[in-house]
Amino acid sequence: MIADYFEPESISEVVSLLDRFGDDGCVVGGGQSLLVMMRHGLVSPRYLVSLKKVAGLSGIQESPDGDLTIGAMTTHRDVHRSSLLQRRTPVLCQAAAKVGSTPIRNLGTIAGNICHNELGGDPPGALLVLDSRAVCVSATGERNVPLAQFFTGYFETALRPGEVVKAIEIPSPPSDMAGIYLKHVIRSGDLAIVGVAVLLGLESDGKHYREVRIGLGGVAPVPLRAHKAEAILRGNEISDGVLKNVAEAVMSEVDPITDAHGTAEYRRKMVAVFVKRAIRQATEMALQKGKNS
Amino acid sequence: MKRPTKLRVNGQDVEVWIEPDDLLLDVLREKLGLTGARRGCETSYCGACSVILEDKLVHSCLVLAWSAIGQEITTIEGLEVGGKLHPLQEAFIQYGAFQCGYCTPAMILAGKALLDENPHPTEEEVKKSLDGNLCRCTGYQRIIQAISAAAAGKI
Repeated sequence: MIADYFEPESISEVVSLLDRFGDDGCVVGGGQSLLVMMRHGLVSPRYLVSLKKVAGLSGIQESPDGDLTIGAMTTHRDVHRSSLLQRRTPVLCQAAAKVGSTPIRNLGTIAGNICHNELGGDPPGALLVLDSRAVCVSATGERNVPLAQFFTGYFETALRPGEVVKAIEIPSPPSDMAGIYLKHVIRSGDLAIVGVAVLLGLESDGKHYREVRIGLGGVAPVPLRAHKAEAILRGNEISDGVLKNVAEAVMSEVDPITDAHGTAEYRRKMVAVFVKRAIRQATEMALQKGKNS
Repeated sequence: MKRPTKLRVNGQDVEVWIEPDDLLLDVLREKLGLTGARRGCETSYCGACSVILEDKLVHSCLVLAWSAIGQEITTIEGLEVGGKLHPLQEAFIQYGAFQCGYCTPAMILAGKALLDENPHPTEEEVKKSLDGNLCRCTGYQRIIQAISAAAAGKI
């Protein structure tokens, strides 16, 4: 039962309200996850503090150095359609386009998605390969948390009581790498059984991997980078043999669960299939990029 | 804390008392008598409660009524003008794009949100625009045909 609802106009008012309400308060962005959780009785805040009227939280900024800042209230729709992001971070646009359904993407926000941290969310894998950071604000100050440290468990994050994510920062994304997001799902609106984001750059000879980053969702308690698999690819020659080793490494790095959408064993097998597929496709894209540059 | 407020629904300002945990769906149905928005899953899977907020399709079961203050809300009841049905409504009749009818208001609004933004969608774009709306009767073909026909001005 919600006792009251607030629409403050500044982030300092937001954090001061959260500070005042403690465990009884909850921040709401687009509401597309929170209201479902409330409907199921999993959370029952007494005071809702909306970010809707806070100035400057919507939209995407690019600094002179090429760093990107995505405001907390930026919706999946806005991310997907941003021409700036389509140019700089296509992997993130592809992931945003695969979140839920049209109405959910119309209201749901990218910051809300990472704070909810539900198994099989789409943006986290893409944000991980982009080395993104969450800008967390509380009544006592501001800190940047690398996304690699942000996700701590099922529905759990490093966000402290009274803290709110103000923005997501992406350090200047490399322009010479190709990015792709693949989602394995039975019905398009569902959470990913396996979600794979790959960001990949080749050596100038077009025959060796220079840098490969693999972000995974749906296959472990938290979204993660497949560091072992990345290390196998780095500097190695493009070949099917390498991909076989990569698939084995990835399967050893994940820790999937069994649920209504798939067994742990199935998820483990599928993550290998989708990682190989994503790397092949990203390699093709990187080769094309090389030819056109 | 219950407060009186104004919502803008189908082009008119309406006064209504809203509780902090009222969903837009509840206010439309229970307080304004606009039952075209249907109560379905209440967890954003079925889309039967869809309305248009400003120019975007949303699930009214996942919108707090207070957050809709100051925004233009369009429900199926707002599509008929002066006793004349909207071309999409005519198209749904002409193509028999419904059986039980439970999902129909939401389907028509999904079509409207699409066509207002993209008046000449491809069939793929029509299908994609319905990704948040379930129909358990028709198999979708007639719905897609009806929206495409309305877009092509064949109504």
